[in-house]
Order: sequence, then C-alpha cells, then structure tokens
Amino acid sequence: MSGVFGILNIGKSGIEANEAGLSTAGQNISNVNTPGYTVEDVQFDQSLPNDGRPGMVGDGVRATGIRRVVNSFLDAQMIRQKTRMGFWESSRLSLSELDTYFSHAQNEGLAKDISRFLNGWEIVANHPLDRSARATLVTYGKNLSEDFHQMASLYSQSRNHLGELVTSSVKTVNIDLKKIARLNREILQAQAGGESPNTLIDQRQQLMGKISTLTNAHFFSDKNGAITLHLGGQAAITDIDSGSLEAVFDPSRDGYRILIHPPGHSGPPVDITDRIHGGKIGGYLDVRDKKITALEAHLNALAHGIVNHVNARHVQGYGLNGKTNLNFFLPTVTVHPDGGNSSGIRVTANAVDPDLAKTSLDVSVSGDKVMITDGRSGKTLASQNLSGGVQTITVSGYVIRVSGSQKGAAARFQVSGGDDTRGAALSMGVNNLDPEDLAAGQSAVREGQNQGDNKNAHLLFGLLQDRLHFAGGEQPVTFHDFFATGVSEIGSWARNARDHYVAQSMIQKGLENQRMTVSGVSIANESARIIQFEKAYQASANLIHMTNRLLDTLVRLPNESS
Amino acid sequence: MIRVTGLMTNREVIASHDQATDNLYDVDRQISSGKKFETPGDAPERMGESLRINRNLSVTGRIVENAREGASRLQLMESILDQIGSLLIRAKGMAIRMANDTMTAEDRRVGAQEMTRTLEQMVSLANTKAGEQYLFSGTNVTLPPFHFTDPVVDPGSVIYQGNHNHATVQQGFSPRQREAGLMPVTEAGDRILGNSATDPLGDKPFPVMRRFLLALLANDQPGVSRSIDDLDRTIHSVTERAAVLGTRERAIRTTVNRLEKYTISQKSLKSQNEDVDIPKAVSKLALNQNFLALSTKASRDILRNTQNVLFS
Repeated sequence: MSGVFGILNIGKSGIEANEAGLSTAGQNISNVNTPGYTVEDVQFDQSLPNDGRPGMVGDGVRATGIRRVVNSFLDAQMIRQKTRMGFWESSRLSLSELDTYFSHAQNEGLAKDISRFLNGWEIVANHPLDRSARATLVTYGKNLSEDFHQMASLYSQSRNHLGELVTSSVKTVNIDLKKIARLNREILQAQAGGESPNTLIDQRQQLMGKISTLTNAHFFSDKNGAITLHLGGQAAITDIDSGSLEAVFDPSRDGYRILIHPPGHSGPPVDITDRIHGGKIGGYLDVRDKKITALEAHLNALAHGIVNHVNARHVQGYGLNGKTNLNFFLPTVTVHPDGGNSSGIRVTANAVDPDLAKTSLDVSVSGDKVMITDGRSGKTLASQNLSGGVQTITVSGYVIRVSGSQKGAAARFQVSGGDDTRGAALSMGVNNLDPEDLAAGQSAVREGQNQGDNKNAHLLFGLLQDRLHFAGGEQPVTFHDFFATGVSEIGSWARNARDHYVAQSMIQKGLENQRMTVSGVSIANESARIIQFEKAYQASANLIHMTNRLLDTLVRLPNESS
Repeated sequence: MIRVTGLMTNREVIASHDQATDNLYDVDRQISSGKKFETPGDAPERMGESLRINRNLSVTGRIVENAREGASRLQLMESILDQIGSLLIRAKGMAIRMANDTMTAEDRRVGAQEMTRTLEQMVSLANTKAGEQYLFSGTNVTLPPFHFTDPVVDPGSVIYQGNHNHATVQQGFSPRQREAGLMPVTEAGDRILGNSATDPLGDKPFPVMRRFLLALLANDQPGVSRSIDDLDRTIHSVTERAAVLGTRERAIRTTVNRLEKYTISQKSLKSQNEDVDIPKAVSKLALNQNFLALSTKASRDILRNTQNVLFS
C-alpha cells in the first residue's frame, strides 16, 4: 500500500513488531531463574516493498519468528556430560555408603575381632585348665562369626537397595521416553502449522537431559526436528513412538539385566545390559553387580580361609577331655560317609589351599590303612596308616584327619566343596563345643595326663602371623593383609568416585556457564532491549499520530478551500 | 566479551559458599575426632598402614603378656629351687653332725625324724602350683608331681608322677622364630629332683635324701658319711638349675623391655599415620573461617551491586 495509508500501515507494522519484541523480552525476564530455559530472540524482517512513485517503497517491518538462542554443540556436550555425571554421582553415593561400613576399621570391627580371637588362644595356652578362658574363646569365635554375618547382610542390603534404585530409575526412563515421544508429535504438528514451539523444545531438552543422567543415551535430530533416541544400540524413540525398558533380576547371574522393547518391535525384548555403562543406572549396576559382588567374594574368601585354616589346626589337637578331630567352626567342606556312619571312623576335611582343592576326594579306611583317591579319576593320591587311632594327611589342598577305630567293612567317605567359598561369611558359625573340647594340646591328652600341653594353642595363635592361602589369592598372605586388601579396595573405589564426581561437577558447571553465556537470560541485556523496543514502539506510535494529523489535514482541505 | 547472566552469578555465589562450608566442615570433623581419616575412602593408603600397625601391636602386646606370665613363673620356680637348696644345706649340716663317731643310734634316729620333716618340706615345695597348674610335673599339670610311697615299707621314698614334656609360653615374634620362641614354663621334676623309685642310686635330691634317711635309721655311720658328698653334689646341681631358671627369667625381662620399646615406636607410627596435628588443624580452621566470611561478604556485595544497577 502507498500513500498516507501506506505510512499508517508502516507505523502499525512497527508497533506490532516491537510489541512482539517487548513480549519476548518480558518472557525472557520472567524466566530468568527457570532451569533449562533458552533465551528467545525475535527475528525481524522488512515487509515486501510496494511498486510506486518515485520507486519501490518499503512496507514496514514484520516479526518473522521467535528463535531460541542456542549453541547445539554445547547442548549436545551438556547432555553427554550428564551421563558421566549421573554415573559418578550414583557411584559416589553408593560407594560412600559401603565406605562407612568400614568406619574406623583399623580400630574396630572385623580386624579387631580376628586379633582378639587368635590372641585368645594364647590366653588358653597360658591357662589350659581355666574353663572361663576357654568359654571366653568360644565367645570370641561367635563374635567373629557375627561380624561376618553382619558384613554379609550389609552387602546384601546394599545390593537390594541398589536393585530397587535400578528398577525405579528404569520406570522413570520409561515415563520420560513417553513424554519425549508426545513432545515430538506436538513439535512436529506445531512446526507444520508454521509455529515456533520453543517452550516444547525446551521441555524436550530437559527430558533428554534427565534421561542422559539416568543412562547413556544417544540422541539424533532428524530433518523435521524430531528427536530419535538410541539406548544400547537399540531405538528407544522414533519420531513419534516410544519403546520401553525393563529391569529383570537374573538369578543365574545374580544380577540385573536391562531389556529394551524397541518401538514397533513385536519379538522378545533385547538385552542391552552390557551396553549400559553410563548414567545413574550404569553406576548402580556397576556398584551392585560388579563391585559389591567382588566385595562379597572377598568377604567369603576371608571367612572361608579363617574357618578352614583354624579348623585344619584345631582338628589335629586334643581337648582337656582327650577329644580330637573336632572342628572349631562349622566346616565349609562336605564330608559324606557312604551308607551312613556305622564304621566308628570319623573324617574331617578342611581346604587350606582352595585353589588346589577343586576336585572331590574319596577316603577309604580299611583296618589301619587310610587311602585317599581322586574322586573323578580314581588315582591314588595318598596312603598312610593310622597311628594311635589317628592320622592327618595333607593332599590336594585339603587337610584330612581320620580318627577312630573301624568296625566291620571298610569305611568310605566323599570329600568335596573345597573351593566353594559362596555363602561362607553368612554361614560361618562355631561348632557346638564344650570349653573342654578346645584343642590346646598337640599330643594325646587323658584325665590327669598331659593336660598342660599347649602347643596346639600356640600354633593357632601363630595363624595371626602366618602367610596362608586364600581362594583367588595370588600369594599367601596373613588374615589381616587379606582383609586390608578388601578395605583398601573399597577405599580407593570410594575415593575415586568422589574425585571423579568433583571433577565432573566442575566440568558440568563450566559447560552450564558456557551455555548460559549463550542461552541464559541476562537481566541487563533484556532491560536494555526493553528500552530499545519501548523507544521503537513509541516512535512507531508517533508515526501513526503524525499520519493521523496528515489525514486530518487532507480531510479538512475541501472545507478550507471553499 | 562474555555474557554473564543472573543465574550464573547466583549459582557461582552459592557454589563458592558451599565449597567454603565444605572445607570448614572437613577441618572441623578432623579436629572433633582427632583423626585424619574415618573411613577407608578418606585415605585408603593410611587405612591399610593402620591395619598393619594394629596387627603388629596386637601380636606384640600378646607376646609381652606372655613374657610377663612366663617370667613370673620362672621366678617362682627359681625361688622354690633356692628354698630346696637351703633345705639341702641344712641336711648336709645334719649329715656332718651325724657322721661323728660320738653319735649314738638314738641320736641318729632323732636325726632321721628331723630329716623326714625336711624331706616333707621339700616335697611340699616341689608340689607348688602356679594358678591351677603344678610347676614341676611337665604337662601333667593337674597331678602333684611328687608323692611319698608307704613310709613303713619304703621310708623316705619319693616318686614322680609327672611326664617329661613342657608347657610353654610363646616368645617368638615372627613365624621364623615360632619354634625357637617357645619358652618352657614347667619342668619335668624328676630331672631336677630325682625319682626314688626309678633311680634309687641317683645323685638328685630325693634319692640322696632317701639314702641319707635310711643310713640314719640303720645307724649306718659310713652311709651317713657318704651322704655328705652326695648332698654336696646335689646342692650344686639344684643351685645350678635355679641359676639357669634365673637366667631364663632375666632373658625374658630383656625381651619385654625390647618389645615395650618396639610397642612405643609402633604407637608413634600409628599416631603419625592417624592423628591430626591439632595446632595445624586449628590454623586451617581459622583460615577456612576467614574464607567463608570473605566469600559471604563478596557474595553479598555482588548481589547488592547487581540489584542497584538494574533496579535503582
């Protein structure tokens, strides 16, 4: 349009455009503290010019759109870092909980009770006739067992709790996947209608960040602006449809498996557990199914070692009442007599080198002769005679003690489970012993004979310093050194997680700051823009006023001329 | 030029404040507990070191207790042998008197009564217990090592019913010293004091006293004379044995001193590893308090200036 009305139009376009600018600036200011808000900017363009005299005349301004001021690279970086942040945050929290189990471990707890129990043997050695010293030692053994039960329970509770967290995190991911799919649909619809759905895009960005915090997700943007998401190499969201995750406990692996049902997939779900290595879910799985599993194995190996090494020494000694071949702790090795146990022969077996004690053994006693053969191949491994009704044979990682007198046919026993440390901590317990059964003596004891013999008690005390074999251990070490490796491991994991979390927090903060310099709301900037748009609005309004006066003048012209 | 938004400023202010508070809390925790670390995650390497030191202290403490126990028993055994030695000296004096030609059968019979009482005292001393265990019965610690046979049938005969093993205390500090470190704290009594039944002609105190007693009862003057030399020899062997026990006891006390010094050095190491240097920690606390105060003031100034610029 040209002429006066053209000028009026130009003024009107200016008011409308600057009104959009003021509105956008206002929107920015009101969202200054909204997390994840991206600052918006109005895009202005000239209206198409009109043909006229003296030439093409502009037709004012129009607001062509409101764009989000964003750096896509920074946004993508932030989302990636959220995955790492989530992983270290969940690891830090769960490992620090485990770390507190060992609070003051150097002065209290398992280490102290191991020392107290083994020192107790020296007290019995110095006072072999003192029943109360013996009873106290049995109590120390029970306390030690209780410590192991408690630690095993704490680990089990932690794993259960982490399992619940995995399940609830997976549920959260599923809810967010659905939300993103819905937002995808709405954004596509809005864009098809020529709208700029900035708020919806911001919401979707927030959800993408949430999912990245929970797991290592890969986001791709297609040409239409829809976001597709891949989890563990499988599609979790297509442009408008979403799949779902499932957390399933697998008893055969004693761990959680993460399965995905991709959108539109009708077959069985796909196991992506091995590809989940980031985010909180990755952190929980790492701690639950790897680190705590390793700690449990270590605790079981320690319990197994204490039970078997103490028992192996104890069975060779004699109590005040002359009894021998009694285990102090409930044994972990199974000794199964063939056809009941009417032979009068007693066999105990303890695995002092679990890595060697992998095969089962057959023990047969015929007369005075004891023969031990490999349970699978039948190869003879050892053969000795009973001496004084007893014999101790160390073979294939086992210490086997035979005592008694045989009545009738040859007695046969199967020995197995020497290398099985599973559940050793939880099942550790003291045998039902009378204090007089404690085997302090090394040679045969009878009423009034040799009851002051205390050499076996000294040897049991010596276990405190002896280097011994543990399951999975590379070299023989003492009880305390083996315990210390577990404590050091949890300590370095906790410390590592803490340090990584701090480092990641700083990286995250740096990225957030960088993002905010681009996409954050600066009140000073917006205030300046408000002034700018306000002045432009006023100028456009003045133009309209002026045009109004021109029109007044034109309208009055015929009256003035007559 | 970098845009600094309001949210950036707020977050930075809060983060700085949190960091200062965190540092302050950490130092405060150390001062209140007096420890550099509480959990393995605070200092994994220090925790491992502390565990090792504590194990050494536990073993050392036990060995020191053993040593004290062993030393007191050896002292008791030495004292008993000293007393038996004194009784043997008295018996030798009696033998010298009774060997005199002027002594009559009646005098020797009275002498025999006195020697019987002396022998009873010696047996009573040999049957001394330490706590619940007899000291001179080997490992048959529940039985009195010596007792008299029928005095009518075989007067003055003392027989041994212990064995020849030893109860021991552990003095070996390391596995390599395990066997060598076993210190006997009971003795086979017959090896020191003899056994009238199995070795009637032996030169140990009880067989010698028996022969002396029989000589007195039989008014056997040459027999009494021979007893003087026998008693002299046996006094020397008992005194020698007492000296050996005394030497062993002093060796144990030297071990105790050495181990007590070792304990002190281990405790010092433990303290260096675990305990907070309080003066340093207090200085650090004051420093962190200042940082917190400065951080708070700076935050307040930033926020006030921002408000003034934007809204005045």
